[in-house]
Amino acid sequence: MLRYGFVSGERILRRGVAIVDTFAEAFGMRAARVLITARTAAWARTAAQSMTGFATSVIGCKIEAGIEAELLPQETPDGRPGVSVLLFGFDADGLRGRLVDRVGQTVLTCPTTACFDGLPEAAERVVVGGSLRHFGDKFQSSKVLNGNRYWRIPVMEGEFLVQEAFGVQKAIGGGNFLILAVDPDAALAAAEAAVDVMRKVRGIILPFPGGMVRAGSKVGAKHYKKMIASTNDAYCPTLRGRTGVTSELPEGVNSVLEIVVDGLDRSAIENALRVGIDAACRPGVVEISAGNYGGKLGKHHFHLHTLVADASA
Amino acid sequence: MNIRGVHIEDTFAEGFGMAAARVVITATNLKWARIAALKLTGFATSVIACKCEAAIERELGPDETPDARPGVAALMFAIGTENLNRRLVERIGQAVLTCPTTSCFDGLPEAPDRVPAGRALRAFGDKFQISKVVGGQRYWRVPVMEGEFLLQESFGVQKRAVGGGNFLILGEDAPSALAAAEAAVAAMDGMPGIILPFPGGVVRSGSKVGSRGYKSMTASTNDAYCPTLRLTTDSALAEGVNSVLEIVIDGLDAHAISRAMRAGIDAACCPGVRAIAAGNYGGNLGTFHFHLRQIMEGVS
Repeated sequence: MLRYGFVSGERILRRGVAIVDTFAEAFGMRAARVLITARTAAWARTAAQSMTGFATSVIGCKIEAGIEAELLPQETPDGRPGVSVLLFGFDADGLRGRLVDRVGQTVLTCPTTACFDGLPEAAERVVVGGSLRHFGDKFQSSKVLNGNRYWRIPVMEGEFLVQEAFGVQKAIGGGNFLILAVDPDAALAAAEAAVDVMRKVRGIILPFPGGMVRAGSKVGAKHYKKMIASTNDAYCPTLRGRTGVTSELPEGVNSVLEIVVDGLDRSAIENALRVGIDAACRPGVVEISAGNYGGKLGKHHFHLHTLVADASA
Repeated sequence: MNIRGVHIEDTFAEGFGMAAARVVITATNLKWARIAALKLTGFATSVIACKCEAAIERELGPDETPDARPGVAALMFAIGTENLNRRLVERIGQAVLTCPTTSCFDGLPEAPDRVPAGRALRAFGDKFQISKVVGGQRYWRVPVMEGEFLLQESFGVQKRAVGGGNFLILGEDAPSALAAAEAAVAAMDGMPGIILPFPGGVVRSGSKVGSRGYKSMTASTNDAYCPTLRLTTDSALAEGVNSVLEIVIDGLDAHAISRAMRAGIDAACCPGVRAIAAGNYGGNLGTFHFHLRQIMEGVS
């Protein structure tokens, strides 16, 4: 069962907010980075926004995705403004399928865009443009530049340029922390402050709407056998005192929000958690905690006290 | 027919019957309602690959929503009522249930056909949820960490909705076609009962059914309208047309699509545009035919 706030020791205070001695438990995933360029930053964003919709949890959406960063012309392969998107799946083959679906529906279709691999160093590669080229009905052509094949697919607007293969690397999904606050406004203000600083960190995305999730879950359900996940009743403020609920919420906590972080590697998630937790320590926040499963399911553990100690150093 | 020097071709758009729902998302402010709506409607450009087509219909003022908070109305289209219900359950569950401060209401209260999407989502509450009936409608209060998520039990379904209304903008060059498409989208934005499901409302990759080169492809590039293939295929493009963009429109009924096409085509008749055309399959596949010259009558 998912345990939030698994307390094993003392608390650290940061600006009056207690950092619980617990850890976030995260899982091994596979990630790809898609660079979308366009005539303007607005069109690149439009494609990226459509690409990363309905991509909050890998179980419900088959993929987790978000915008990593906006890119200046000097940061992109074709010298145009762009957006980099990170996509996370369980394995390389699943990720390949989702990339073909999503690039095909939201980038191929979108005016002025081109689409490039953003993990050129990754040894493992999956064919994306090499599948989408079939849309060109054998009218497509290709070029090899510096060892990479690029496809030029004729479309009504002109042509769509897409790289044949995309790098895939080992990555981590499910880094997280919880903001326990006196009321919903305080929780939201702290979570918004955290998201603002975390979005500046490269190598991570926050896959939930606006970067945060209010509907934390436990594995399975007590009352519905078929449900694979249900509300985390121990952390629901409206259920405090209800029969059958053992609340984990300290007195005075009336609203909780969670920030979920997926990252290309451990240090990217650590950087994001560290700045996010620091920003979330604001008036009206009582505790910062984290979600884990007792440490047995996910092999990546992020201890809040270690993160906070690094920030103070 | 000619509007400000732009030729309106004597052709029609061919649309298909679909089932549609209107989801009203409210939140503490418009920013959060929009955030939820964008996640709800992302990756929803075509029913074939995304299982539904969806987009924001318009923003709603506090005086237009059931709980008097700012909101956004989104329309979702799918093939068949049961399929639409599944898409509502998974997308509301992932994008609205999870999103701070939001509530979720049915935006088609008059529709006699209804699906129980909220009833499926209530189970996330693990029997801690409770319900109220107000004005004959059941609402669920699902406990979440932030507080509670309020959502309506059933959503109205418009069974006579139409997908695939469209028109093509034939431009002299890519910037002209894009400027005209952007003007058309701006004119149609917020019109009641319609959405433009593609990114930014525009699609550049029009397709034909099947493929000559690859047997397994169900759709491939519409080579007759690709300017770079003018010399290598049987081109439908007149001399001087070098870029084509399409606007695809889904609507709650044929009338809503006709009105949007009229406003969009009028706005797209800009300098640098040679002609307006439309996509059809000869009229044999779709029930709804939108004849451009009938729709634009009185504008030229």
